[in-house]
Amino acid sequence: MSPPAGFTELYATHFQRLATQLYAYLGDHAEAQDLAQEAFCRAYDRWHRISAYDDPIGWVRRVAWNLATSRLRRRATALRYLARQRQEHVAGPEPDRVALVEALAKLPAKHRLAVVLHHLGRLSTAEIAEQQGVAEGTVRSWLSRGRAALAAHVSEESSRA
Amino acid sequence: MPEPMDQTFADFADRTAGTFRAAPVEAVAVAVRRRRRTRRGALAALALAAVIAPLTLLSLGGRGETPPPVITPSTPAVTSPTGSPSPSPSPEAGPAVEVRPVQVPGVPPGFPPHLVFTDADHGWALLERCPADSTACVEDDCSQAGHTCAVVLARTEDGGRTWRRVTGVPSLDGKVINMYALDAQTITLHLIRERFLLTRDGGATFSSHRLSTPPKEALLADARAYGHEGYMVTCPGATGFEDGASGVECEREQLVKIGSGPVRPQPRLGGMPNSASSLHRGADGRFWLLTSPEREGGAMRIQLSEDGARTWRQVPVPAQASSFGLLLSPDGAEVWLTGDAQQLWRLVDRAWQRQADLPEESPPYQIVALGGGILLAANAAGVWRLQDGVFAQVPGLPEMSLNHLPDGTLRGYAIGSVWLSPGTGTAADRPWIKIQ
Repeated sequence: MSPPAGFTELYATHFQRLATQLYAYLGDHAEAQDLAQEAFCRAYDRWHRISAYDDPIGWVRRVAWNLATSRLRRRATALRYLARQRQEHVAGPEPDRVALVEALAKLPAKHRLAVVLHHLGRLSTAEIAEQQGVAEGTVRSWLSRGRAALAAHVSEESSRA
Repeated sequence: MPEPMDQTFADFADRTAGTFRAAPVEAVAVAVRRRRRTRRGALAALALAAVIAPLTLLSLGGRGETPPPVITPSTPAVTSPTGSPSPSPSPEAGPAVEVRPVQVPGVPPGFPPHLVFTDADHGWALLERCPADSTACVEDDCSQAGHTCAVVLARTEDGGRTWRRVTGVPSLDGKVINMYALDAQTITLHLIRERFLLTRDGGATFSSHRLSTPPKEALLADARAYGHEGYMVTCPGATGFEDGASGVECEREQLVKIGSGPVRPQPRLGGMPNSASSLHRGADGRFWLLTSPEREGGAMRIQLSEDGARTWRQVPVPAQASSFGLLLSPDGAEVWLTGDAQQLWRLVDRAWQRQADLPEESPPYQIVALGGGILLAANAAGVWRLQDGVFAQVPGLPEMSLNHLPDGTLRGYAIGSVWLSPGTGTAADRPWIKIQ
């Protein structure tokens, strides 16, 4: 039996993007992979309904971020979070990538969420607000403060480039 | 020209996206179907992890000092050397396959069934139909939606030839449900984030149970399905039915006799999720316990109890294995280990002997030991049979997870169907029934 129509394309198109967003948010590569996979599993499980939605990937993203938020909530301390960064072993231009993740890790979770969803997920503040169930102004505030906190890092990166 | 912030994140995405690898969509399908029936807590609920790192969930082992080994490792006796040619399909005709569609009187077509069987004859089906414009389940559990999905519970007593609707059950419409079937009369329905419904009389009546106190029958069904009849390994305080993000973590799991509590003394167990353990109980009375340090590195460990889980001793593992799963034959006498690189060992005269390499991408839950030195192993290409040291493909069978039901029936979960091979024995031509 073939996978349901539409799922394979959605999965192939969005898996890496979603996992990348979760990685930026969580700072844990393996966990990002796991949660993205879990979200797509849930989508597959309910595909007969989700495929009828206007924005199926929106459903997957919401589930993934709910999982990520819950997972992050269980982490004991920021220290533990940062310790995970030091354990990471990834290929490619690791220093740059980890530097951004570390900079993001210093942000409050809500600010980080807004920054990642906006700049990586390409969501508008209205879309983030809808996903998070908060007022759009609240998201603007998170985004503004998150961007400000990241500015030094970005400026440094830009001048290096 | 993009803003510096956008450029930074675009660069990050370019460099990072390629480091993630999605599991094959076929594997997602298998994992989902498996989870629909037997959802487990935390990482185990992420049957997905079995897709990404197939051996971690079913790997077992211990922690701490090493008691004197009673089973000594030996130089592997490789009956089919590593690196030998890949198994090749058999040219022979496949076993007979009878197809039995699920048809419930009074239920119109369009209800895809979710199926679970407790023996060759007795099974349960959940049939669910949602309108195309349903707004149900915008979240992951349907609990917040004005759902309109209709759900029907049915059962069979003749191996899926006929089905009848279970009428004693409360409305299941719009629920997300996992089934834990213990026997012909007993099934627990886990209404996710709501409650448990239990029947002990074949669906004539149901009792309701809070999520915090799952029925013993559900735990027993789950233990039976995973090959550790009557026992479970769990975190203190966990119900055993946490799923996804609500999974319980702990520094040290414990072995529990269902209905009685933790056994005394406890074997050496690791924590969840970083050093999860799994249990196998053989029909010969032996308990096998494997612990797999998942993310922290370290050695795999196997513990064995031959006196009803009262005392434990450590069993050496093959040096080449960094991760493995354990398989028992129906009588518990044959013990097999699978490694993370297609390795396969069999315990012979207290020593692990290397066997023919497994087919590629055959996770432990897709392998079953039949006895007599015979295995069935499934991968994306189908089902393979190990006999006389060689794997040969069984024509006509799809990729499926495999296990034994208590009456000896072989049961496979494939995409969109359940497969049953009633009876016992190791015959290559035992017939199959496809129920869909």
